[in-house]
Amino acid sequence: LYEPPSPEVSFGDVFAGDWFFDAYLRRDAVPLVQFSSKSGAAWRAASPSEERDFLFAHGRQRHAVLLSDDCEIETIMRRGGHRRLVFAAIERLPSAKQEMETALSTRSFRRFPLPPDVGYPGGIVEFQQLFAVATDGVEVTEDDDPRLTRLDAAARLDLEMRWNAYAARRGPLAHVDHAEKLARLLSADGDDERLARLKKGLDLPDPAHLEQAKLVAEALGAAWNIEGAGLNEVSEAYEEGRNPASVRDCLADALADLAARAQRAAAKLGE
Amino acid sequence: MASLGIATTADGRTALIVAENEERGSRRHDETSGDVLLTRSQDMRSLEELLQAHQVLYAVLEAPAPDIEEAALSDLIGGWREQARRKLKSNRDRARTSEPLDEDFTFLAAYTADDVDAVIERAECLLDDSSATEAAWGDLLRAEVQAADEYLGHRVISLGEVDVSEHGEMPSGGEPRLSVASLGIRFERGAFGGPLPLVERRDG
Repeated sequence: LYEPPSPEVSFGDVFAGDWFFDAYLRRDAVPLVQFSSKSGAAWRAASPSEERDFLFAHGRQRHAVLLSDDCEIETIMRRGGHRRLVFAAIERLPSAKQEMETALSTRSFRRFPLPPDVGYPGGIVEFQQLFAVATDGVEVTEDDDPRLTRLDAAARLDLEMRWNAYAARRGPLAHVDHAEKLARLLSADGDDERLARLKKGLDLPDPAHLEQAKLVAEALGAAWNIEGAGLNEVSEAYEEGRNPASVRDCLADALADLAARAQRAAAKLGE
Repeated sequence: MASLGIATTADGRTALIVAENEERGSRRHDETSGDVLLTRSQDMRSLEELLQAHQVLYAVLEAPAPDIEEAALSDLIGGWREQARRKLKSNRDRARTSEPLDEDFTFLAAYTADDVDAVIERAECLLDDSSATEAAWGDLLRAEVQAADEYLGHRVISLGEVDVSEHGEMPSGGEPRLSVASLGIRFERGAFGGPLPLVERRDG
């Protein structure tokens, strides 16, 4: 589940540091100015200003997972300045076993569970506790690496799906969630009482409707695969100047598969 | 310590010439200490020698000691008034930047650029009042700190809310029948992690 960080900072890296706070604003946000007090440097509230760069805000020290995608990370790290990378805070897992299991089984789009495993004690990624860090806060040097671990490829894919579902209501998790609703709606077939029971989990959708909904989710999932793996392959081939034949053929196959899945789903819905 | 007069030196300082008292008799009679020239009247060299020794451009000497108004004297010898004026100006400028302020003047940062003028005016009014004392200046600074806090009106918000645990949350509708794993699709890679878009490569 966890692996050592790669040399480059990347999506799915888990960070920790004295400066990692899930900083956020409330209505008491106010600029701060430094002054020389009798006991040393101190800060006090100042009038709002577009120029002042120090702020009184809220935030708790947390581990955090990097959510910016790798292209954006490379760009931000190169350009620096006021540009920032997006992180989600990681809350500790409950210590009680039962509570921990419940937390880890969450299906909420706003949370992504990190089970305890070799290399990391686990936690819950909270997409509702996002914050941003400038490049100096994430820079890796020979002497200082603020990263604790990195999610492995499978976990990064799961994280991307959950992040995609939370931020944009898109991607496989959102497809499945909507497909489930489609199945229940079809099974209710206009019967308000049955729909109410289905919504409460007191009744199950019909297998035939589940199959219809599943085909819809599969077609959309195939499209998501092309958007991600398929088109990234094109980009990499372009970058490396590869012969386009294999990429073209792969893309054609993927699109044909998508078309077939979409046709099957449409046909099944029409039955 | 009797004051014999004031003098302006070549480097622009205005010094007070005083007669050294008995307790400090061991010090050099004509030494320069800060902006004060110390000497004993009975040991004073000729006026010409004294002026040359201290590169004095002009001097006003009176005997007995000059009756100089306290406010004017304070300004001349770098007393609290002059220091207060210098600090006020310096901190006002710094309040607009990220340079650290002096503790007594942090109230300046609380005001917007439009409103800070009234505060400066109050402060300068006191400094211009020849009867004002250093203690009154201190009182004004303390009052301004309080006024600045009221002006800013900053109050820290207490979290004060129940942090409802979501660990037990489950969507209504019971266990879902579909999942990503149940789909007949193999997901291997998402959109993240791809090479730079064209626009970035052009920039690079």
